[in-house]
Amino acid sequence: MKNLLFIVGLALIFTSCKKHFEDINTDPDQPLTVPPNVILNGVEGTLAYAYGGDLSRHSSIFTQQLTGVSRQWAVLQNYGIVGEDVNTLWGDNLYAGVLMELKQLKAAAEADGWSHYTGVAEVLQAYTILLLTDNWNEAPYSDAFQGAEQLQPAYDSQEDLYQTVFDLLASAKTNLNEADGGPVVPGGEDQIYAGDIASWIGFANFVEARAYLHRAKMDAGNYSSALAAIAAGGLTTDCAFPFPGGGNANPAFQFNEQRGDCAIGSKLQELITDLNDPRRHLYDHAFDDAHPFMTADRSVYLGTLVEQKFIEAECTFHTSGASAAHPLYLEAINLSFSSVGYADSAATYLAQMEVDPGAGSLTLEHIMNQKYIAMFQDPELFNDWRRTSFPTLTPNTGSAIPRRYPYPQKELNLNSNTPAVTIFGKVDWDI
Amino acid sequence: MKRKFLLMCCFIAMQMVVYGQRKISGTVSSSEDDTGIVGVVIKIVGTSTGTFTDELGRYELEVPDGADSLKFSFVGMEPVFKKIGAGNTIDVVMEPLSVLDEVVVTALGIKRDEKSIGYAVSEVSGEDIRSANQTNLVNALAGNVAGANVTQASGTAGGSSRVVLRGFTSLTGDNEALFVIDGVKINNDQLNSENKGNATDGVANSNRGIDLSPDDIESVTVLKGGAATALYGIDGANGVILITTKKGQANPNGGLTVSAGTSLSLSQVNRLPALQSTYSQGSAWYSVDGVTPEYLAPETGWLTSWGPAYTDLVWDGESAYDYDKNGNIVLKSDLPGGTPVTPYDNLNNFFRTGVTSRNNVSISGGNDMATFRFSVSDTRETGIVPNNTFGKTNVSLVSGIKLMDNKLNITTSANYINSGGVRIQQGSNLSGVMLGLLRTPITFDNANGSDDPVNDPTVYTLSDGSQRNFRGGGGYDNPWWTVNNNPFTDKVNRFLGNFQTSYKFSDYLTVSANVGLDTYTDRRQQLYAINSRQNPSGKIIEETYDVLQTDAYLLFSGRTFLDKSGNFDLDYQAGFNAFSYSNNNLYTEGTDFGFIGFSHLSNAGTINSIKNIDRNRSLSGFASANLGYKKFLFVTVTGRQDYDSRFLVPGEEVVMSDIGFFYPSVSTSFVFSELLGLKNTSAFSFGKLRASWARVARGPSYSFATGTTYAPVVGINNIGDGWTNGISTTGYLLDDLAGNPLLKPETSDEFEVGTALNFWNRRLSIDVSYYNRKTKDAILPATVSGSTGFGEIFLNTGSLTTNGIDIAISGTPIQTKNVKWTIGANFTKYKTIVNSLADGLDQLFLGGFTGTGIYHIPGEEFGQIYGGVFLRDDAGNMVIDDDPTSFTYGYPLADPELAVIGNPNPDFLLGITNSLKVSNFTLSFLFDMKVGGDMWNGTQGALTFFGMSELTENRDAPGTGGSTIFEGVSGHIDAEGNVITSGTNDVQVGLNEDWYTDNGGGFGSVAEHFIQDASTYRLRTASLSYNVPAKKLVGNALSEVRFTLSGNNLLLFTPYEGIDPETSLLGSSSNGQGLDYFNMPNTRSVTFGINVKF
Repeated sequence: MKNLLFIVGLALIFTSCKKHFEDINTDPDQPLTVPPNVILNGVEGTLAYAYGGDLSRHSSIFTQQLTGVSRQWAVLQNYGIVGEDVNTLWGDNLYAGVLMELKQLKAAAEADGWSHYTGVAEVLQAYTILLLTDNWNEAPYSDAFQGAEQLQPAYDSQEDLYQTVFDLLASAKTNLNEADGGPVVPGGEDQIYAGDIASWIGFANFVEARAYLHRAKMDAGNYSSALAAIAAGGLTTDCAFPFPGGGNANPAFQFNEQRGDCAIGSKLQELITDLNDPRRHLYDHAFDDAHPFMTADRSVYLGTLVEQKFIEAECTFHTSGASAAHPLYLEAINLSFSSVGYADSAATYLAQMEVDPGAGSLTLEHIMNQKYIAMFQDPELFNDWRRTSFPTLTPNTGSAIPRRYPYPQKELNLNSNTPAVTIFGKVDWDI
Repeated sequence: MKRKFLLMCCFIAMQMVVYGQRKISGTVSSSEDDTGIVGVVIKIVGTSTGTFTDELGRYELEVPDGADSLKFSFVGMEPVFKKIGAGNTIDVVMEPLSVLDEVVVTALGIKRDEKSIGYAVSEVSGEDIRSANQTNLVNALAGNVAGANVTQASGTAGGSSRVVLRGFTSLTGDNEALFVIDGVKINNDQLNSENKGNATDGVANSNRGIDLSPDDIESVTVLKGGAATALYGIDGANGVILITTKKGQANPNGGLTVSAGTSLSLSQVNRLPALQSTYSQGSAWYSVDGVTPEYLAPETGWLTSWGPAYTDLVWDGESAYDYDKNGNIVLKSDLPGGTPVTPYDNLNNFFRTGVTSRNNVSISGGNDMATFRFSVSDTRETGIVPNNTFGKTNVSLVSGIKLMDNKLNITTSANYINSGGVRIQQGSNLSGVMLGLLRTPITFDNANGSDDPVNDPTVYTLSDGSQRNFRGGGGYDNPWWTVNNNPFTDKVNRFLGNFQTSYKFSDYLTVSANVGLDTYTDRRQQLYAINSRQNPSGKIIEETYDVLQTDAYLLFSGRTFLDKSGNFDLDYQAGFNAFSYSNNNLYTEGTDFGFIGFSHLSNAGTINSIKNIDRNRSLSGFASANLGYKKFLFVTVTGRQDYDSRFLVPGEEVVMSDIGFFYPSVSTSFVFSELLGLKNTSAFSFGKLRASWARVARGPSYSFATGTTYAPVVGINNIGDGWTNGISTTGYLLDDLAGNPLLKPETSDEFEVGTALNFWNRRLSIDVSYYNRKTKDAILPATVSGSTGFGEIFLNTGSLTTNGIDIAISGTPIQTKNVKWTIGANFTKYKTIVNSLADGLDQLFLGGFTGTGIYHIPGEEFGQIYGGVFLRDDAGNMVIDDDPTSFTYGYPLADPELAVIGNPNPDFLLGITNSLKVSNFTLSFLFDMKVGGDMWNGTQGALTFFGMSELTENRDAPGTGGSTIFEGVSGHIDAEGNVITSGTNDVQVGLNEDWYTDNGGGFGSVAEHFIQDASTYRLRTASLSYNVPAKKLVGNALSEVRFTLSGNNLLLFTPYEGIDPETSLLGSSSNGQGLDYFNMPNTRSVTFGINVKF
């Protein structure tokens, strides 16, 4: 009898065990899930901060838009860039800060049928993967973002990553074109386009055009693909993330204000001086203490109408020749002048032979040099120079200019799949 | 039927009282000291009739005719049986229990024969705890336990202390021993309000063990090794401090026993850093020739003391001068008639004599069936730093009931504690007392001549409300300002309750239940007045912690012989345990006060709040079987299965098997003296060998290390690039630190062997243990590849190994009727090596500063001091700058790479106790040494920069050729980073402002020259007590009167060149020990106390 009671007692205790734990099975202080619209603002901010910050500075050293003057940036000026320098850019920002968050955003949006949100996430994913593969070639994607389940994700080839980009963009356009965006659609929290889906579709096409253009060095057929993407409805408004200033200032402003180790690059200085470019009044003073150009409330541009027009000019130059490209070229320069409030000075500038040699004499170098001047410190210029070798650059030191980024030190230490590379090696499309 | 029989017996016994009886009387004394024993139970064998001895050991008993014999019994003594003869006097001398029957308390409060235990156990008596005169119980363990390392964080009233047993078990988690009172766990957290992770500043918070009253403690048992604590499973890795509280005792006379004690301690600072006493505030850098030291007045805001010698300066007598009542300081050559400047001694004028008064009263009484003890203790402490106070009041009531022929036992205890105080800013903190105090130049009087600066606001406030300090209102707080304007107050209300009941069905089965409750509310407020340097626009923190902890046991135990011959006997314990903890924290911070004089949340411009709930629960089943063979061979096997909520994955279905873990142990004791037939009487009276193996564990320090959650971008997930301040956006982002659903506990496997030997019936006993413990699966927030989607993930990675030896020796060289001398030694030596951290992680920051901090480095001992070193060539010579154009020409160069520069872990600890009892006088002392172990003297480093350290007294006048040729080779680092050297250095340079403010001082890039040996050799306690002889008290209401005069820390010898190196910048609960950066000094004290018993 006593034994039976004992056994019944034991059984009772064990069934109540589970109950003992069930009501403390949540973290009372931090949510496990949040709706997609809560994440979007932070993701856009992180991407913009990385694009206008480290990506812009490192690539601008390579393209000589920027000169590293003191402290660490004096070392970077001499191509001393090492894995440690890109730990934050790669890990905290592009992977954990953008792609991981986008994965959550997209998963939640898909689950709830928020198709426009899904589309926006996919465009941003494609844009970011492009940044990874263009600067690092191979990168983990299909095996990544699994936390403790996969501590050493495998690397995807550039070919696979580009395929992923095109797939994502196709899916994005399908989702964005849904008449019904779902129960919740992007709104004010989308600081880039404030939920304007047409603008997002335009940006998706623009990203597709960029992707084709990058690989045109491998296959000239990509020029027409790029043109086709823009023709399908390219950018109608600049893709810009606004910084209000104050505690949330533009990343380049913050760097110049708080560290100030850099100055204008030699090649940019040379071009704007030689061409007597009115925009030098902006660029020359970009590093002044008052920061008149890279202001605290300046937006970071992830894609511009100016760039799109230069893409059209370059592609047309290859597909249809100089004369066909010429009006697009002039249009791009005009757009650039008006975008910085110098529309009135454009005519005088264009009157110079060195700027406008006439329709028949237009060369790729003209197009690329003007794109270089127009897109101040834009990371895209590093792709352009590797594709076209324009503007012509002389190494800051030694005999070569870096043609890719080093893998981050943390990745080298912690992921044995990381390929061994040097910064003078080439990404796959850079044949 | 049985009951009826008993009733009949009682009836018959009572009848016998009525008919024919006589009175027997006598005295019961102890063989140890010949004095009478109070409270000996005397029973007529075969009856329940009996009595107790009185305070002189006397008794009287009516004995019925036909009674055969008397039984005398007393705790800790061998029972004595005496035949009742013809005489009416029976005197008895009782012998202490022989060693073979020594009973010790083991895990879960189970009492076991010491000889059967296969691991080492240390005990400290309540008397030793009480006589240590410590407000914090933990401090009283220092030197008394082999294997224990006690560290006091600071000498401030209410400061924390920690005890680490047998080295470290966890890389990042808590390494402090678990506190258990009367069988249930209690909370010993140290909660910091500011900089919760890396507390290099703020105030010295208490560890909650400080709430316990030493007056209520009967004994402390220290379970050190894995086998001793295996029954605590997941909480057992760090060892256990088992505290048994005093219970009520039946009074022989049926009345009440009242004990009262009062004591008064006076304390003063025991060691201060040495300062220079010659040079004024100023510098040579801005003088006309750039070479002559120039006096720079407070209103210039100048920070260092590289000015002229005070003998070259005079006061001009300007009485309206804000910064000095004696007037402006000018060069004597400019004003030959001025009053010569005399240096101010800010340091010694600041500290005061601390006063601690302790009072306690306890009332105890009862009878065979019911007992109680009620006690009230109160401690009021004022620290050596003005306005620093701490106080606590304990009220406790313990009652016990025995029913049904003592088969049913019920004990309840209720303990209310009110504690708290006013704490003062310390450490690396512009408002820290020592920071401002030690940096003050000799030409500035923080107190401005006031006799009572602490109560005179004009000393530290100027008429416009700004601060009067040596830097013209900038720099660091005037110490008198910070003790008045930046107080931290805390008030803890705590209730500790305990309910224990047991019913003994038979020898084979006793069922007991034990439920404990520990709950407290800790309300805190930190103020920074406007113009305080740490928070110039003012700040207020209002914080509340609500902690609730319950611990409940259901235990089945019993004992049986397995065979008829009685050779094999078995005792067992089995049961269940349910534990629950929650800490509900609300932190509100207000900054930017609107106006001066009202430090309140409503006056704050910005208010931020953080809410944090930390909670966990566990359920466990455990069993222990102890098998004995012929009283000389014992084997104990234990097992515990824990289910712990810290392994729940948030938001997911509860799967019991995922949160369950099993912890076994086996231990064996071989009493070879029994086998050899050795008896108490032989010289070698007892000997045993023991060996054990156990697996114990630790859970994660975080409740939800298993899950990944979202947190707001604002304030937590700030966006940035590592170069800039970055931005915040709206909304939430997934945490960069990922949880790990596969997380499991950190497990420690410990192997221990040892021996216990007694000679001459315990006149000499030796206990030696060697142990090896390996912790694996240490939980770390490990840095991971970014492509995992995270920056860090909680991983079970990292391992550490500890090897150590504990030796306890005690002896009684002299024992006569009137003289007893006992001497003991506790030796502790261990070494914990960090074997590995995580993949790709070659160092782990534990706390401190980026330049000099405490880090784990694989292959090194636990928590190394890591920082800047001088550049050396391959042969180890210092490299001296050979570039004549460099301003460091002729001075040692710094190595660009940081390195391990010190090991804070002591080589060994030794506590030596002595007690000499002569007649009614007892003289005892505890000499305690910690040998080896480094400390970073960051205070001296900084003071060298400031020209205030005594090291700078030898300064060379700038511009003179200099006095020093640094020993080393000439050289430099070339553009490729190679060290190029060229022969022995022969450049003569000056030890001057340029050198000491660069790498010669503590703010350069080198820290190695401020690493110092922190060994201590101290007379920790010494006491002399006098018991008024019992004979003199006869006829008085008093039964015991004792006077005690004692001292703490009366002597301290150390090579360390700063304050008492028993200090920790990061607080006692941090794993980062070995840093001194403007820590509060320690104290020495003298206490006079009186204890009486009615």
